[in-house]
Amino acid sequence: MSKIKKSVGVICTAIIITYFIWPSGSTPNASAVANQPTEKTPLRGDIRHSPSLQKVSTSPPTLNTKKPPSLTQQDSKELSPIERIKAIQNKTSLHQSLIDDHQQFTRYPSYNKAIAQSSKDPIISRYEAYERSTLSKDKNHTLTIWTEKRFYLNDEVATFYASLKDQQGNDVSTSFAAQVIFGEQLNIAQLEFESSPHNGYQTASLTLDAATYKEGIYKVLIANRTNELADALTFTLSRPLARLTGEYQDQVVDGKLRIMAEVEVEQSNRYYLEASLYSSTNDPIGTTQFADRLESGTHWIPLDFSGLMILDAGEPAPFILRNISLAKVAMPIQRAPLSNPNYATQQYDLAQFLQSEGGAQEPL
Amino acid sequence: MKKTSRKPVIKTLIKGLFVSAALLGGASQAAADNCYIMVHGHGTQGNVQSGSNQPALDYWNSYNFSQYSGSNFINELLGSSNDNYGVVGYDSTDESGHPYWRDETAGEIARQIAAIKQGNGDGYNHPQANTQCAANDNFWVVSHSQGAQQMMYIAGNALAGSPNYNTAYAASGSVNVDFDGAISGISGIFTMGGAITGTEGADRLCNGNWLDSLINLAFLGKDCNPSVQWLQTNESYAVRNYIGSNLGAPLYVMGGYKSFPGIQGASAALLSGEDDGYINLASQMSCEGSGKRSIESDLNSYKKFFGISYGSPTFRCNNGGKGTPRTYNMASVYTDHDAERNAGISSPSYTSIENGITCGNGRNMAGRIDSCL
Repeated sequence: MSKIKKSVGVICTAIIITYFIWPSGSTPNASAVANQPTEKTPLRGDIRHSPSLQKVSTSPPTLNTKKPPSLTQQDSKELSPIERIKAIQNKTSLHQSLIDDHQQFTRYPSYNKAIAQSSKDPIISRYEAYERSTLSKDKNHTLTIWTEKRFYLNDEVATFYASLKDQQGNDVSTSFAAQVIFGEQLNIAQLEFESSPHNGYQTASLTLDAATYKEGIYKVLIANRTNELADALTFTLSRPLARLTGEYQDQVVDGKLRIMAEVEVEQSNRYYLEASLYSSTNDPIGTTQFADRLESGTHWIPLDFSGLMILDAGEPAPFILRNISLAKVAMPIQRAPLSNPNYATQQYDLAQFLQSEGGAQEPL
Repeated sequence: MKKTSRKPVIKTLIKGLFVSAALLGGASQAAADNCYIMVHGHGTQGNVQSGSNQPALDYWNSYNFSQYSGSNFINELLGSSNDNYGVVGYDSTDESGHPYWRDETAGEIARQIAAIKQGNGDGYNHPQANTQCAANDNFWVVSHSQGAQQMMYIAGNALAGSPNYNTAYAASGSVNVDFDGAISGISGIFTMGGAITGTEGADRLCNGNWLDSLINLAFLGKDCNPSVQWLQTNESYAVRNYIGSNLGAPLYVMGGYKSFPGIQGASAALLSGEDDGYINLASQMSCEGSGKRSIESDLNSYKKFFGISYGSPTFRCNNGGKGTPRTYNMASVYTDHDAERNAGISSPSYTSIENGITCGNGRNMAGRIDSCL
């Protein structure tokens, strides 16, 4: 312990001396802070063609007579969390990832997300029904089940699929039975599967009549009679109580593209809309979202797409509203069927989007 | 008393010395410490806290397997740093059976995160000296198991335009909770063994063919109560369907792929693909597709012939293959679900993964966070 105390004494003296004699502006940390790019630094592109950037660069320089504060003197309360991370000199791969994420996150309004490729359109993913596979304990058989949709409306026919394969992927002859359960407790119906010629799977169907099926989550527990492998599918019976009328309008507002979607609401509630925008050549641009309480009646809902996000895509107008999803917010969420309006906007001069929100960021 | 002060004397002295030096010079304080906000998983009476009875704090050194006795996640997380932590406690028991979207779970967690960020302490008796968070710390959330599911719900409804923006649910209906304020200022969320798209264990329990009662009792209880129901891998229950298109903070996923020690290791055989004994790796890493998607420890899926993988990946759970927005790979670690939360395996092996964060390679999940920050 005495050794530790002695060491602490030496460190103490060194820190105090260093604190008083080290010129604050020359500390390594100070230069690191001074060299940090601001949030609005262009990523790349020809800066000569950016009115917003010219506006920044032609601002009259101001004479700064104050010495830049060193990091050790700067009250850390004044630094945002990301600024603190940026000021770290020896960054780890996590620090760098956080900085990259922040740059990406702040590039557009938080309700907008760029889509990298059309197969990653998150609006479509909301509706995708995934195949489920279960391996037998002896690893000799695989049960695979799936359904066509995750969300059904009353009076639609829900269809379920099942197959059993061996290790080599060959179909195994078997029969399947299923139990339809509501709320994990209430048995609603029993299903027998029928073979589908030449397809290697069996199917069962169910008509979702309004008298029997109310809104909520239904489970279809499927078992085969060969080795008792079982798994379950679920689907949501939706009653969204609102619909897209199919009417749209568009305009540029404050440098962003605003597409107005008309919605007819049957019951006052909170509603959620998501939509994806594409170019006329089917290249994905990005998504937007909107949520609010809507009273009964007809509403025009603004779907805003950042001008910078449009410019980053590098595609000319017109733009296409490809996919739109409407949902009643509840537990469980009640999605209306995915709509594909393929609505084409007016022709716009891309310069209109240069005056976008935030101003100084450059398109990619 | 099992706990001892973890912060060495020299650290405390230097901390005090620094404050003195700053006061002498009339300067304000230096760069902030990290504050780790700890969000526990399923089956903990975290809403109870009285004297030495601190279940939410004890979660991080409790164990189901004696091999991990004496291990302590928080000690490993703090290491020799000046960092601090705050404990969040909520009722995740089967008796209460609250799903992730309830006011008693997500709502309570958000309120406690906001309180910890104010710097007034978390109300727990920390065995490590001087480790209560200050208001000007750098805030991170560290979550395990079901805690990850709730953090996804909170972060995914913390931005205006999200479906459940600032909304949780109680028995009486929706409740306003300031998720936005809770997530604001959080630099990142770490999930460890997160049940982000559920667990096949919950499937088996709710579908009536759960076979390993020991594991079941340890982590999920005995019945398909609503909290377990919403932990199933079916898409209708997945948190990703109840959040918006963006998160209020970046989320870094760490997954485990080691089976449990001893006879309980048999549970891994009941789960599709790699798993940590209880949660499918695809769920832990928030991969696209089914929560029980079969992925290997490198987060790829392959075609198989007689159980042997071959060829190029048919699916890659890289940063572009996530089922949730703003979600990033951190690490795939040879650790089981129990050791994830008590740091019971000190130097686990790991698999290199696409887009993984390499700082802290060779350390357990707590150590990785410590190394990387």
